Amino acid sequence: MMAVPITVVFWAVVAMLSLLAVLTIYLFAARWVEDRKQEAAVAYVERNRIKWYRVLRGLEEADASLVPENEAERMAVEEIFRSYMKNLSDPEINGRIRGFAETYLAYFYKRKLRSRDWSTRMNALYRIEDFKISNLLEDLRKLDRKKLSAEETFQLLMIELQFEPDLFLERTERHLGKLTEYEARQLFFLMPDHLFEQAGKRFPDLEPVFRYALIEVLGMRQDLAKLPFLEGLLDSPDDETRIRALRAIDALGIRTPNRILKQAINSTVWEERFLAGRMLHRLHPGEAAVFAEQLKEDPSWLVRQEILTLSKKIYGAKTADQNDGEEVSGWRR
Amino acid sequence: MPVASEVLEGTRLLYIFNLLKANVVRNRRTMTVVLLIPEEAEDRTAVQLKQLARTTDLLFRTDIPGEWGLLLPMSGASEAKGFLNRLFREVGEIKAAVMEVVHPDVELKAALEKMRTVAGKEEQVSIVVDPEFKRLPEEVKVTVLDPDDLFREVLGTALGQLEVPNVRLDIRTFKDGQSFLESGWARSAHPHLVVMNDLLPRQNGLDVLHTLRAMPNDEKFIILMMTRRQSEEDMTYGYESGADGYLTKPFNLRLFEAQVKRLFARLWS
Repeated sequence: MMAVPITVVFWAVVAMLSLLAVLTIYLFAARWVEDRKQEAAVAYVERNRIKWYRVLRGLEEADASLVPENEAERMAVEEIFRSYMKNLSDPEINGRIRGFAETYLAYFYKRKLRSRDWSTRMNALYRIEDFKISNLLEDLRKLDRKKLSAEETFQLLMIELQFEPDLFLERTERHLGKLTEYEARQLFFLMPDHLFEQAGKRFPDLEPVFRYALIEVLGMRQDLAKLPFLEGLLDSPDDETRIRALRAIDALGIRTPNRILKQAINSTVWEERFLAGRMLHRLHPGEAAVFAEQLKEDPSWLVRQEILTLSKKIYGAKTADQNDGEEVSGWRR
Repeated sequence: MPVASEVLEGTRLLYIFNLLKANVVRNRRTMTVVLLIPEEAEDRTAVQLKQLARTTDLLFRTDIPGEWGLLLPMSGASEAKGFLNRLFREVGEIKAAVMEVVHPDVELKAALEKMRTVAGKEEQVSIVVDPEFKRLPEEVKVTVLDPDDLFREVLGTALGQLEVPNVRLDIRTFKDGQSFLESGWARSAHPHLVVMNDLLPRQNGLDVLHTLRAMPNDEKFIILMMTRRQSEEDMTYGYESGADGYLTKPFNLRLFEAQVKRLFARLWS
């Protein structure tokens, strides 16, 4: 067994205790600073909330007393703005927030965009988007994209889309490829109609991830005028495109045309047959029974389950129809 | 209850007038008195009056021979003017005056006297507005329930600055459902506008809604729910549970103020 001199142990303990003491002091100091910041922010809100109400409602002009002088006051202003924007949609209020933010807060965020801390940069980007600080757009475009994280890149695209939607596709084309499908869907969903149309025209040239996202958003938007386009996609050699197109057609909530149903029922892909089964719920029981007959022995369990659910519905309707003297043809239970 | 064919006079007229006047204040229903002063006593006017009056209208004769009057419960001056236009088409024009009764201290005798002094002076039908007996300002309680401190104050301030004729707003804000229900603020006979978020700490908005609607005098509450979820199902449930309106956040504050003003204006009908 190796003997450790008592003095070494003593100094090691002293060193550790010193380190602990320093850490404790640091934590208390940091907490104290944070508390003072919080107090200053609360004091700012308390002092100015009525004034801010009057300014944002257009009852008086913003004066120098509202301009934040430090980090705490800036946080307080952000809190006030976020509360208004989260709960109220008045364009006048949003316009005044934007005006104030562009004049007095842009400088703060410009500085924060250069921070080494990722969360500081992200927060700055969120605030720029929230408060629509468009005069920072050029600064944002100058950021070195190679050094940016995927989240920052996406946030920049969101800002670009919001501030200059008309030039969005041209300016951002080369950055779109890195997005996830979820992010692409968000972008498509937020696109103004004319831009979305433009993106739709480029459909064949888009990356698969964008094509899928675009089809999904077509379903979400529930625009019936897009039915012919979606129907055209059902001839695609790509299974995923056909499945998504069918799902979007289903989301339209219409009585699906027979030609689409026939094509889906005869598909070799079980997802398409499953979606066809779901669409049958919107048919008259008599018609649904004819199509369902073809799927009741389907090799896929999920498809058969869907048809079983449908059959219970049809059986109920059939009883009612027969009571009215109408025969539901082609369905054996 | 008398019908139009019955003609009220003397003490019975006073009794019925006072009864209707009490109803005016309690139920916030305007009553209108119409006075007709024909140039000469005509039986035709009396016959037409009886025919044109609704069964809820009350025909009366004053102390002055040839003078006729009509009490129109739950009707305003515009309805009275409409009635008179129909009458004039039948019997020709007659001097007439109309007075809305909205104050509990209006006396029939004094009202008729004022109407006589103005009848036919400027227009065929004179509208009498007695500054002494204008509608009493009504105290309306307003409660804002929202967990966001800043927004709660914004709504409270916006409502406090609303200018609503004849309505005095008494506003209080609460952060959660429990503190509101335990405060006793909801227990009074005043009309009470409650603007609350569906999600609240401790006791949520729908719980509060159920509690308020289970109170014995729940009709005094006008309840507007605020929600962030655009769920038709939630809203349907809210309406079925007794909500009077839904505001989907973020909403337009000016639109909200206009809605609230309209709600208060409809307190009197």
